[in-house]
Amino acid sequence: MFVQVKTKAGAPVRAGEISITPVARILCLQLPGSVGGLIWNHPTAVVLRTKDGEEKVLPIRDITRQAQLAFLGVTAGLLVVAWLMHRKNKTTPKKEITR
Amino acid sequence: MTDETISLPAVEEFTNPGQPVEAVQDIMEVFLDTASVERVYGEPIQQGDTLIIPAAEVLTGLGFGLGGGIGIDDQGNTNSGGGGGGGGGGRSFARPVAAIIASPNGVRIEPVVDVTKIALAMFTAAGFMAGMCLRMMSRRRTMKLDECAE
Repeated sequence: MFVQVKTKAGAPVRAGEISITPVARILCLQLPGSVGGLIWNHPTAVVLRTKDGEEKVLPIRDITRQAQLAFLGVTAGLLVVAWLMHRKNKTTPKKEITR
Repeated sequence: MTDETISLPAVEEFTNPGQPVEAVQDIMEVFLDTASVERVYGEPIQQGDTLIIPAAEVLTGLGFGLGGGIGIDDQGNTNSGGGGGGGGGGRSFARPVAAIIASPNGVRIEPVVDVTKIALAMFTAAGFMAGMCLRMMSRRRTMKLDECAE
């Protein structure tokens, strides 16, 4: 399997005195034998360039994806904690009750 | 991820049995075209003094398969017949991520929040956690009952 990650900049767009250059990250996953593949293309940032030559990078945040990943992370974390607690309870020797 | 963005060549173009390789090449070209910045950023929209550039995430998957064989008769002759075939499939998804807004006040990025998707993720996580808790509680109850029986 062939995996490639590329960051590409598009053609700049002029907005008044500012030039906006869009940047995207592309993940290419090629199946062996060139029988297909997967391409995931997503925006990462825009580069702003003023007339004076000043550059500023504005990152593009994917709020929906971040929220989804946060829920996934919390669930996975809780699952691990619950499993560890369950395992601890299982391995702890029980106190013998003597009268 | 709902909208299909890539327009594949028309079905009539693939019906000529003499040109399957060209058809595959056409599809591959369309597929590889997805890996460009222009597919992610839309055409800028000018509205008065404001310029809006929509940004989306694009995911494309494609797969092919080919096969063939030769028939052998009772005498072991290999030229008695044969056949071959192939198939493939693919899908493309696009989802809006943000809008870049350039106005006289400056440039800002407005994220596109898909509340439905977030809610679905939340309910899935909550359901999973509830199921996990119930399972643990039932197991603990079973252990207690076992202890009492002993």
